[in-house]
Amino acid sequence: MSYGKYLLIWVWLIALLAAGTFISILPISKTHAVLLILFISSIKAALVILFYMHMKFERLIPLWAVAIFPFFLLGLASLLIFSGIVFGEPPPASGDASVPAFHLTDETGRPFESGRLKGKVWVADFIFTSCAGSCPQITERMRSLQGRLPAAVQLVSISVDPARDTPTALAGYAKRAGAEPGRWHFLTGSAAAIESLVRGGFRLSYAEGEGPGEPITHSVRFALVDQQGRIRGSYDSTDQKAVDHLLKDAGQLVH
Amino acid sequence: MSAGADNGQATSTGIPSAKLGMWLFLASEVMFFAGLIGATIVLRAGLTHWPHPGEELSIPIAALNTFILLSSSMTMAMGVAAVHHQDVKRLRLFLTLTILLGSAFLGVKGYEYSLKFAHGHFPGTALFWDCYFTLTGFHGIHVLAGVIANLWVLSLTFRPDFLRAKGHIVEISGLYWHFVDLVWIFLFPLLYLI
Repeated sequence: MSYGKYLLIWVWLIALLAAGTFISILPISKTHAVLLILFISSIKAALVILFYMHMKFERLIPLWAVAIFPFFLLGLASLLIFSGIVFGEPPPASGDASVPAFHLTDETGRPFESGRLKGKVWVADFIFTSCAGSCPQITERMRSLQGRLPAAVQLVSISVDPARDTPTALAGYAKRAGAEPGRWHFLTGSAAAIESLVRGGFRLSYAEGEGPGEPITHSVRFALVDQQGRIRGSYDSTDQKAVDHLLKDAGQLVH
Repeated sequence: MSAGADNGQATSTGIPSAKLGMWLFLASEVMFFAGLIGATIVLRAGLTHWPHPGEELSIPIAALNTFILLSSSMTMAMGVAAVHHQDVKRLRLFLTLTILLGSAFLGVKGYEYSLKFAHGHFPGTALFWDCYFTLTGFHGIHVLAGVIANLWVLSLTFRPDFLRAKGHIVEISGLYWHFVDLVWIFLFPLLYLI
């Protein structure tokens, strides 16, 4: 190919760059913007692959291989758009259960008893510090709840890996999570106490791994508890609508 | 096509082995970045808050960097064309331009990082920043590797008989460079525009 043709491809690439950037500031729906921008990026990629990488002139590599790119991206885009469906969970078991009395230890190493939460509205979640799966997302959502809930609402993160989650480990985790001391508590204790609290008290799933290195499976739900220790609902932390619902319910309980 | 451009060796695949090797390496690189990009999308789908375009990151800075990298792909492709035209002077010019543009990209990226650090955004401060620094960091390392590879190729061009004996190296290095550009073509919309 001549220099002039390479220059022409460059003009197209820059025009597409300008178009994609411009679309991002247009007042169109997110879905349309995502699809259009990814479509434009796929054309840019195809131009680079076909002309700059000479794929158009390589007879041994079929052209259709290049066509997979846009489909792959469209798949990713739809995952993004329909994430609510992908990450959905069945509705929680209903009932007006109460949280049983518990005696645990908080991240400062001091005992933490259920009595301290009496008369307060609180939100609980279940995490462990070495968890690389859903916990970072749950904790990030809890942090956003910390900012959006009324200041009177307490937050409680209960470790489902109490053997490894010492108060010191939890204190470090709390700091990284940006937890307000005295409002967002991180609790650990004996494995039996935790298991009975999660399963018997909150009626949420919890299973220990089979051996070392095996992941602990646990619920990704937030539980909302009222001033009398009654569980008012559990909300899928990965579902934006459920979290909005939690904010509304908690706000009503406080007022 | 000149005899020197593909080193003239017949192989059972019909593709020069060095080029085939680079394509295989790039296939593994696609998997590497697909994993990171996939992780970012899944994390994003599960989060309530993800910055809107332009809220945390500067679109103009990233658009400038995209412009720089797309231009460097053009100069790289012209370098390969210069090999085909047996024009070593132009080859050196285009390689130098590619190296300068790649370095400019890294300079702009470094400036962007310094802005983020000044605002207290580091890896580990939020999942968005983890994704941002992981993706752009690994991409930046790839750009740096490409600049070094092109510097090495540029130094080879001063050997006598380079075009005939080693001319195909420019194309191999170019394939890698275009791949680095391709990754950015997707990172730019993913992190900045949508």
